[in-house]
Amino acid sequence: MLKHHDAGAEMVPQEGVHEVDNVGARLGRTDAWRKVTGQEQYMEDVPLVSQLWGKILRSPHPHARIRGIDVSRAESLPGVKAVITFRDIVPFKIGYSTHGDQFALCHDRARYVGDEVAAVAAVDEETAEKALSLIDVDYEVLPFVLDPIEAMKPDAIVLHKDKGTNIAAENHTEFGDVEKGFAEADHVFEDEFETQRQCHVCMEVHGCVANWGNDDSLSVWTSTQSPHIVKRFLAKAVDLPLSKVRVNRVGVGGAFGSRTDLFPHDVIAAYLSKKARRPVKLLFSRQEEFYASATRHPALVRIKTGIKDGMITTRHVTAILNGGAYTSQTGAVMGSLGWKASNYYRIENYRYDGYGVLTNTSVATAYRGYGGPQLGFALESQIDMIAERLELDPVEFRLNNANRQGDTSVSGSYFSSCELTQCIEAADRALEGEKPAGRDQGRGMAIGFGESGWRGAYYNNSDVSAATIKMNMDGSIHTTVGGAEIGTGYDTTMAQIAADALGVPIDQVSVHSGDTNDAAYDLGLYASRGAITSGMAVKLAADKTKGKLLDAAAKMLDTPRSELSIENRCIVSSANPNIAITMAEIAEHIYEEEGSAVFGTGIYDPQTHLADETGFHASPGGSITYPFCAVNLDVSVNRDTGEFKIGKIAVAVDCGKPINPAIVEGQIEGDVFHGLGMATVEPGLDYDDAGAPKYHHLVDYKLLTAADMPQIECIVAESTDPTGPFGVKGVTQLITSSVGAALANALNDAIGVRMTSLPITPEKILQALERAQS
Amino acid sequence: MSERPEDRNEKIAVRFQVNGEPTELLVSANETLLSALRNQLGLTGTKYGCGTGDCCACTVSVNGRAILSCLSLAAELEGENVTTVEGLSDGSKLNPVQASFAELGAVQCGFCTPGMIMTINALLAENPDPSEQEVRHYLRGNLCRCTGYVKIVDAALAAAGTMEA
Ligand code: FES
Ligand code: FES
Repeated sequence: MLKHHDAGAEMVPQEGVHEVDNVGARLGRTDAWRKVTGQEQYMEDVPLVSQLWGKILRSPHPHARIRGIDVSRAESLPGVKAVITFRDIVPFKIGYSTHGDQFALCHDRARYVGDEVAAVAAVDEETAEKALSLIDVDYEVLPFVLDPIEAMKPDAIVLHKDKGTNIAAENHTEFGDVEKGFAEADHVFEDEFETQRQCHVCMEVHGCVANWGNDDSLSVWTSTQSPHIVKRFLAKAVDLPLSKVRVNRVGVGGAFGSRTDLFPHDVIAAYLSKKARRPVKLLFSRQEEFYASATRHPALVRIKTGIKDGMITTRHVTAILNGGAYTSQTGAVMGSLGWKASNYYRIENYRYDGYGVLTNTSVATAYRGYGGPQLGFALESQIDMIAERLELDPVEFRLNNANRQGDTSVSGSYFSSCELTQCIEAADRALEGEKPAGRDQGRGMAIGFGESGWRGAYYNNSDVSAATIKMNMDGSIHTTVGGAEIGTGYDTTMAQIAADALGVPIDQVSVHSGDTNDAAYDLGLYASRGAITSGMAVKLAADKTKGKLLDAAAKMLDTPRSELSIENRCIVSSANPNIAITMAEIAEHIYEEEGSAVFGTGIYDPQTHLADETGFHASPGGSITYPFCAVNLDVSVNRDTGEFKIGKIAVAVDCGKPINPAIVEGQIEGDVFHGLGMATVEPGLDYDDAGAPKYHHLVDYKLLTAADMPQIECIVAESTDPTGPFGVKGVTQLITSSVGAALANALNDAIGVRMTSLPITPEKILQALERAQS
Repeated sequence: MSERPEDRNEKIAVRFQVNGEPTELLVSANETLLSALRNQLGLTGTKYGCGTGDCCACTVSVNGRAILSCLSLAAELEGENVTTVEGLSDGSKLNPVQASFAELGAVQCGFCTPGMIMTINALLAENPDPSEQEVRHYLRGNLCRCTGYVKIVDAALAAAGTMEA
């Protein structure tokens, strides 16, 4: 059942359009020409007359009381146009939705190295930097805590006095009877795993360009996944009505979850512009990007699994996530980790105990997989550990316990389509014939599960997207959507859906996204929701537009509307073969003769399925449909050096119907890249004993290069999902969750040692081999 | 003109070609080519990714060689011939590397794209028929967070094919 929120008019029935040739086609992207010629405008490229440069003064201490800030020396430096501290801003707490606990500029306390203390706007970057050094802050250095286990102790230093504890969020949820399940099990296994603080490392740094107009309106260009969310909370932070705040379209140079919320730098840029009465461009340096932009949550995950007759019956997952200095999305990521664990396999009993803990470190937030990579490493490593202990074939063990179409998980997720078994078999087959021969060669698999939209992500009761289609007099269309092109092919996907839903050639479709003045309220792009929720909104908008065309045609031709349909870009009659008018003719008629307009708006809010309405999030939760995957890879290991080499990675994905196979492959390949980086070379942001971050540069924090990447084979195990537009499901993050465990499993297969923490480095392998020998 | 009065006398005049146009600029001694291109000439296709030579997003060509504009001083380019991503196509027809990037889905967020395209053009000028291994090796400094490099390598090899023909 779909739930449609349509203002006023009743739903237009779905008329058949008999020219579907864009959906499913490997078309070039609509933004490609701009991007290959250097014309795409990112934040750093926005040209504004008399624009100033903004810079942020950040705390050098992991924890300190701020006794006073003297900005007078900075203010008197020639070229400085504005200096702001917390005194200049409304005391609005930003964070995830309404659950904020972070002022854009610190009031009386700094809580991590990088915390925003003051900011300046000056005529150039050099002057702005110099001005920062002239701000005098009187800090009283306080004791600090970096480790979440330490921070959970009753006598720990508390970061936020008003909370009284560093545990920002906890979750204790049970389905079935876990105690009974373990008591009745033939075997119970318990294992513990750890993952690092992965950095998003978007190639475009974070920042914001803000222009506070003399009419007291605010216009910003900020690289974001959710323009409407930024607008909503920015308006509160600067105390303006929503009608006076605009988030403009701007190129987004990578996001991966790091750009889903309003952030301090957005608010700071706005206030600098307000004070200076000039536009301000505030961009992080790459160094700041490492220590002061948000990260993935480092996690400790313990899994206890009960097996009866070879089947997984019972699970108890305990997770401790390090949320950094402010809560941000910690509660939701922690909840999502526990929720995902309930959906990986057919189980009867499930318990989750999750803790999101604050420490004096960088803020952790959404990152591709959203709790999935931390969980997936643990859960899918343990599957192989169990199979090994019980002498079962790990692939068969997975197949026997895998979810299937029509299943409802223990926590109530309904799988309207599920080709997980097909994924497992396809990924297994893909490496057949390449069976690694000889010593120290191994193969490993892991499956993945993900969301496809999420109800109530912002502590509301919605998963809404909006689109409007406007047809011009020549039959071409503008499609306005509320998400943003963040690199995932969103605009192109929407163009393909609009073209086919309306029967218009793709070169006559333009897509406008990312601008809050263009589109109706839309939650934006996270939780792999773009293709499904925006896609459905576009389809509904097309249906409305089509209805308008058919209504007008019926009147114009004096023919019953029920006899009319759209075929080959014409309106034709099933009763009279002589009737055929083009879309352009009817559109022109509507504008010129009827004095009306051709447009349709689609608002889509999917009906989700989840048994326990308050289980994991203090919000309804759940997606309308779920993607699945299996990852299989070969590895060879050098026992002398601990170095290893991945031969090939096969990825089979059930993401419903791929709207554009090239875009879907691109997402799969990018997903592997993030997962493999986390599994191998990315050290994660670490802190020294003084609480200072260890990595500031791309030379220390390594990313995989073109020379390092193994061959990736993408297999799409197409399912037909009844819910999304043209049967689409999300695909942008579930594979990231599978790569770490697949590698650990392959290494165990190769050399018989079990790696239980990420990243897996040659040093760790050597240590494990040594331990195994002694 | 700078709003900082003390700056005005410290500038150095530099004459060079940018995308075929004779260009004269006044730069300070420590101004990078990246800054001169972006802030003085409005050629914003060249990107800042790190400023420390670690990502290659800022790659441009100087006399046909790929260089990192974030590490090059504009004042030292007297008489040189600089090409940026904006100079690769005439506005109606894409350069073969640009064309294969667009066609094969090698672009996602697009932020690494100009640097990638400049680097690959330099590679193909040196070695018109590279193996996949050679492409991967040549690109090892160019970071991309979106694509896993798969379609970028494909596009480089495809462009080599069309350039030969
Ligand atoms: S910006 Fe020049 S190498 Fe990164
Ligand atoms: S396409 Fe985004 S960094 Fe390469």
